[in-house]
Amino acid sequence: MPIIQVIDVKKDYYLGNVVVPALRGISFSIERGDFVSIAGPSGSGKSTILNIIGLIDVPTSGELIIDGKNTKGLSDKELTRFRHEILGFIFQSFNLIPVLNVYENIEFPLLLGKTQVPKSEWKSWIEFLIGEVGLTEWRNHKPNELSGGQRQRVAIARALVTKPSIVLADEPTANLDSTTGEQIIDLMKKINRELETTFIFSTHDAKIVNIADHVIRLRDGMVIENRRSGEDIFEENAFTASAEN
Amino acid sequence: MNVVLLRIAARNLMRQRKRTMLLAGAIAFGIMIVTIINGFAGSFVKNISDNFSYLMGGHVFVSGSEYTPSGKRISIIRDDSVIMQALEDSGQKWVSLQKTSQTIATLIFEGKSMQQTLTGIDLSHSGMIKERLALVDGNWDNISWPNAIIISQSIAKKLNVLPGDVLVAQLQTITGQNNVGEFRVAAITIDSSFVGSMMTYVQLEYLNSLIGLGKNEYMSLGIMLERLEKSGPFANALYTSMKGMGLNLFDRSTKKEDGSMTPFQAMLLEQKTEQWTGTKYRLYTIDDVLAQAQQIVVALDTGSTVVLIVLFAIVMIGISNTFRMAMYERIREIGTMRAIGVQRNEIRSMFLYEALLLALAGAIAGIILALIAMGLLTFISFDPLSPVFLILKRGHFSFYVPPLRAIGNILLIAVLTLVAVYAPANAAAKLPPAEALRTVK
Ligand SMILES: Nc1ncnc2c1ncn2[C@@H]1O[C@H](COP(=O)(O)OP(=O)(O)O)[C@@H](O)[C@H]1O
Ligand SMILES: [Mg+2]
Repeated sequence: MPIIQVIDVKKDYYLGNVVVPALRGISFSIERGDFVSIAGPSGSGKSTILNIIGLIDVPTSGELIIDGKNTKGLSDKELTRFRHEILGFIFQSFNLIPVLNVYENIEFPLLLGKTQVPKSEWKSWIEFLIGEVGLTEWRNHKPNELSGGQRQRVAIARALVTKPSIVLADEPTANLDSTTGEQIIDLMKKINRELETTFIFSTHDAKIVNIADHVIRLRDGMVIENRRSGEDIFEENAFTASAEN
Repeated sequence: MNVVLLRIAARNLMRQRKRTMLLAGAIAFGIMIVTIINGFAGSFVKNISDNFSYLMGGHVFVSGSEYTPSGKRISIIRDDSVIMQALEDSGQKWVSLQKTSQTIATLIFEGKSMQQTLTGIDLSHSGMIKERLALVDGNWDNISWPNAIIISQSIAKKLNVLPGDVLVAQLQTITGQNNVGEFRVAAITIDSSFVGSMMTYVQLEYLNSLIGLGKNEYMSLGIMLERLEKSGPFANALYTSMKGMGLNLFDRSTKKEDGSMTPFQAMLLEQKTEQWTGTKYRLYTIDDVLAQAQQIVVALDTGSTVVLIVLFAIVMIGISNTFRMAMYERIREIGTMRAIGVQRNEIRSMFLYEALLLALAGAIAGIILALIAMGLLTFISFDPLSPVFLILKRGHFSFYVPPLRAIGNILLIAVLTLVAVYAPANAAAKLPPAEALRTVK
């Protein structure tokens, strides 16, 4: 069973009285453990679909099934708990908590409620992640003392600390130079292999797209390509939607 | 309470150090002013009461009142054995008793004269006399003279007398006959306090003989307690006990509800208008006498609370705006936290913790500043004849901040701050995470 099923999701934004259709009815599935890229030019709806999958935004219509659970109609509280338990987030501009140091930033999600990590293992698990992202010597530094690449490494460790099944990364390399960006993607890929965590990241950088197991390409709020490990799984309704355009 | 959110709240305060200092400073200033007012009000009554307790020789008083055959009303306790019994029966503790008679006399020495109230007490056995008065001249041994008189420096100066000199006193007996006595100056006291400079002490026995009271008679009984605060319960118990012994007593609870009169004034009025036979007793405390001083304190405390609220209404607007600003500055942090799994109410709590820490830091700083300021103010020394002397403690300001008041002020600030910050905190909590994350500052 796919870990994520997106079924005919539409999202309209409203600017005053003007309706901005950001997603025009898209469908796709994501398999557990995949390294997935959502590709597409700016304004194509990448952030919108990632926010919806990440349960920080709700679709105007359509359904989202995560881990077999339909997320429709969940309360804010339930959504928050769901996010905390099974999702990890990596942001374009790192979004670390400025007043917490590297160790504390990574630890933070563990302090928010129940997780899969038993309390006795917190410390060694955090230290393991700090080692994994290569920041052992920086563990007591505050975010403003780190470079962009280092900050994003902290964010990766933070996203993984609760052992989520899915990590979402919205253009994680956009604020980094290309070498650093590639290192970050390599790191994500390595962790994806080691921990079997499903990674979904968006990018408009064609070079980075190639590393993915599964590429979902968007344009104007529609899926224009859906290719997994070389096999084209372009879906019927996406095609229709794009044909209508 | 989530400790990590509290930690973040505390660090967010430190992060905006200048802003925090400004707001905490404003809170501290307000708390300081109010604490000083409270401190002054708190010791105001205590000082007046202390001064008056010594002036009047007790915290609780019993005096007798009766009519002479000619219809003149006089103060007299003829036989205090029943009162003593009532005291025993009341089961209350006291420190000392002082039997007192008073009269106004004209003191004359070598052509100079002045009117003075003579207070007759048992000088040799009064602990208060030696404890409270300081001598400039004369000797404590002299006070055992049967016609000893203790006068203050200023009176001695006016009459131009020295220890050993004999004064003539013209006075009236309780029945209205003129009489003359001779007093020998035993000691001259420093005008170290309002009380000291006003009082002239003589032997009770000699004064009684001059005004026509018997050996065991006197006018009022002063009861000194361990602490002033005990006078209320003590008086109530004694009142019940005296009533129980069948003594005729003036009602203690007489009260004019319009507030124009203190209960004590009402009691005096009742005593004036009423007629009775035999001795009728009046039981009152320093607090009854000083009810008006109490009213001043209530006014001061109410005023200070109003000051506190007005000051803080202003400060709170600043705090509210600052937190609204902070919310916009940290909007992406809020979005991030929400995405990571922080619940709405936890975001709100985080802002409220921050406000609470700010309020507490400011309030504690304010109380410390007030303590320092009050400490410095007590160094100012006032002239004994200054009109404020009665409210001072041995010529200096003294302050007493009732702990409950201080705690109440802190709580008030905490609550006001929380109220001021609630709206922005709530707005932060209600931010949709997607929107908060999209915002670029
Ligand atoms: N809050 C919003 N209000 C109005 N329009 C929005 C909002 N968010 C996104 N959009 C619009 O929706 C479309 C998709 O945006 P987005 O998902 O951010 O694209 P991408 O991440 O691929 O650049 C764009 O046309 C964008 O302008
Ligand atoms: Mg985007």
